[in-house]
Amino acid sequence: MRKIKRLSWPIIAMAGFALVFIALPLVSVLFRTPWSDISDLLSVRQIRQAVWISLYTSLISALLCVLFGVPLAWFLARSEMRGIKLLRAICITPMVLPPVVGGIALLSAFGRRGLLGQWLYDWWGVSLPFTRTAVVMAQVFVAIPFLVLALESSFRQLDTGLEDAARTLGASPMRIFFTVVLPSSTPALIAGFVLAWARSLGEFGASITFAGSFPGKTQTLPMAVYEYISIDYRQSLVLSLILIAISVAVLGAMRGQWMRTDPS
Amino acid sequence: MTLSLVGTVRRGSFFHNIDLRVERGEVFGIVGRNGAGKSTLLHTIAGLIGLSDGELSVNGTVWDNPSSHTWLEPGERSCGVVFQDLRLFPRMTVMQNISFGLRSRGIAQHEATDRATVMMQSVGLDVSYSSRNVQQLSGGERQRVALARALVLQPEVLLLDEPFTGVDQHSLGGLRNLLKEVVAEFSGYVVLVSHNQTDIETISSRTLMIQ
Amino acid sequence: MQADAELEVSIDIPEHRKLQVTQGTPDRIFRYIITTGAYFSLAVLAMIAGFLLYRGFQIFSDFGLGFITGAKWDAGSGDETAPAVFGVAAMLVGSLVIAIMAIAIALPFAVISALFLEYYAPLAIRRFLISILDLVAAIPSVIYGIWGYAILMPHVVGWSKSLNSWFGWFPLFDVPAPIFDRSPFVAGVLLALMVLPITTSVAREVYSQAPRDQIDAAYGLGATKWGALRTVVLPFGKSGLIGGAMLGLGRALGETIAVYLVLNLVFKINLQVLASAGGNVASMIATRFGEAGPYELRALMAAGLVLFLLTLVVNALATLIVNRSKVQ
Repeated sequence: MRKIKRLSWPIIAMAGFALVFIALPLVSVLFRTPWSDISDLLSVRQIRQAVWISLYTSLISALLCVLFGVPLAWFLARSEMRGIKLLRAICITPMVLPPVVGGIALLSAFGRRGLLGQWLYDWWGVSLPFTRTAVVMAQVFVAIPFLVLALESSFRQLDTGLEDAARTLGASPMRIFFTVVLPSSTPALIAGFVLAWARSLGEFGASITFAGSFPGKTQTLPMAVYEYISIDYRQSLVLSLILIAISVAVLGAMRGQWMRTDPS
Repeated sequence: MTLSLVGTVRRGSFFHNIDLRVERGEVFGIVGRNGAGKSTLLHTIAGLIGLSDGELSVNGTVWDNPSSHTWLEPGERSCGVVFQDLRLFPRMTVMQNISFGLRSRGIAQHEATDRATVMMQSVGLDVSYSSRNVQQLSGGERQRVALARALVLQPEVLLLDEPFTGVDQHSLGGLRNLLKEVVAEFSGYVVLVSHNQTDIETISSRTLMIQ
Repeated sequence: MQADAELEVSIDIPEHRKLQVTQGTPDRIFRYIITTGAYFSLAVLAMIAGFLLYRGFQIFSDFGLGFITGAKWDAGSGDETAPAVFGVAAMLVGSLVIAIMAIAIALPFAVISALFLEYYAPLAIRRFLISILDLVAAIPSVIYGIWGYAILMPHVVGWSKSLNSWFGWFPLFDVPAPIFDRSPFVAGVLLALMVLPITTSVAREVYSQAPRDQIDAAYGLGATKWGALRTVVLPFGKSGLIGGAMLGLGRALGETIAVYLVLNLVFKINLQVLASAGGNVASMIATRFGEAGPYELRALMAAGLVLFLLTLVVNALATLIVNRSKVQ
């Protein structure tokens, strides 16, 4: 690609400026954080709970995204059904849908007085909103398109010749999927999982509307940051730092481990 | 006892009319330039492409006949294929590749391993290769793995698509001798296609040129 | 050499054809699970608009077009003396103003960064920067919000003051009172930073598809590197870039917490972007949601539907433009 070596300094300078801009929020949070407060803050029970709830719900959400997203991606990539393009468009909608709208939609569906919710409540006494299940539902809802899109494009690029070869050898569709297709898509699967996980970890709009911010019950780290802003913004900076640290640690680890594998 | 393929295959908006009869024990070679439809022919026998009319039958058993809605899945046909691009499973070892078909047909792990090991030896692959990833092998070795993978199921029909492509000059001779041997011992039907006439003529008992 | 077999063959087009598959029981279950999973996910998505419409319908029938054109949002006291009035006009205008400002600021930076990444950066640096870009795209918006509130805003207030003192004669930069924090401008600058990563990614992808031979031809004609980029790459990437910008716009329209933190929620259509008043639909929903009664809740759902439709339109436009650029 880069045969040409002539450089244009103004462009490089401006690009550098732009890239600094991109990384600025991260860096400046690092510098402005009152580091000494970290241990104080981590000793607050509510914060420890928020960290725990965040980790716990986002992990479950990412796993659920895999559970539902992998079949969906496979279906979208290989189905020759009519209208599959429309289905694909519907699937990516939540990616551009404001999460807060997703949250109130979930509430209107599963709320105590919601269409499905009142039915759930009357029949089984189940009430979903403002529970930890609701947090997970909101996160899955927002995060799943990221996984589906990553996997679907990987499935599409796979050589169908390998699947054909497996068929001549007598392998069932299920066997083909698990032994031939999925191993070739491992990097995409992991990338999608990490993306879904990061998305779940930072999710705010959908979970605060559908699950609320109850300390120790549904309050995740982003919600705690939000709550602390009105109390003491310096402390919410510290909380942000914890959130960044978790995201970067996991993303970085996954990247180093998996993403460089060439999906050939 | 014949393999008979008579009918039409549709590929996009093109139609291939095929009339092919192969006797059991025969090694049938087809020579033709690239894009003449040689692979299409083999894929039709293997069941990766369906006939749009006509009939494919082997030993009197109908494998594909659209008018009577008879259709055998590729896995149900006793048919081993060595693809032009080999199509070895890239994330599996030599052993996993060769035993894949046996495992798919529900044969237990240890028996599949035993049979695959025997097959490796008979195609001239050292047993120490079994745990290697297929991507680490040379062109000739990969070709042998593909051959073993097809033969280990003891198919009635053996389809070879350009078996000498991607093989370097000095292993070519060995591979040619091996194929001659394999094909001579093979009791079923062998259909072999290539764009290279010499390759075909040294192995086949009967040769057909197509344009 | 000629055998008694006969073979007529026409041109072969390599293509994999799918065949109808007859299956055993486990495979039927496997397919069943896959299909059910797919339809389940789709059904959930399709239901959203349905639910919002159903729940918000009463609001649309009560207020009619006034819900879109009215700027007042007041839950009232629940009796005759102060009836509830709901209109999203101020928030809708606010959403658009902030999002458009954000894109207008982010786009030049995105273009330059993308050109740099694709055509100037050495391979190692390029890889590193691209992974940074991915990383940044995954940063929770609450972090941007708190950063914008605590660190960015004081700076932007300074810029606002200068803008106002030099260009205050221009109606958009006028202010009713000299209060410059928590203004649409602050929100716009913050959102610009937030959409920068995704817009840069899209732009980079678009530019990477620029025809190499034309670039080389431009060099052959003695063009400088920048000249070649300007005459070949930039025109080539124009519509793709617009698509990317629209994607960023869609994202900016729905931003909730960051806008909530740096913008003063006032239910009044405000085009004076430096003044401390504004809002957008998403942050309004999040703010009002906590203490809303049943009727206001319906109004919020109706507002959600309006935002949903707006986002859909923007996204559909983006898809259309990107697809058209691919066809070329």
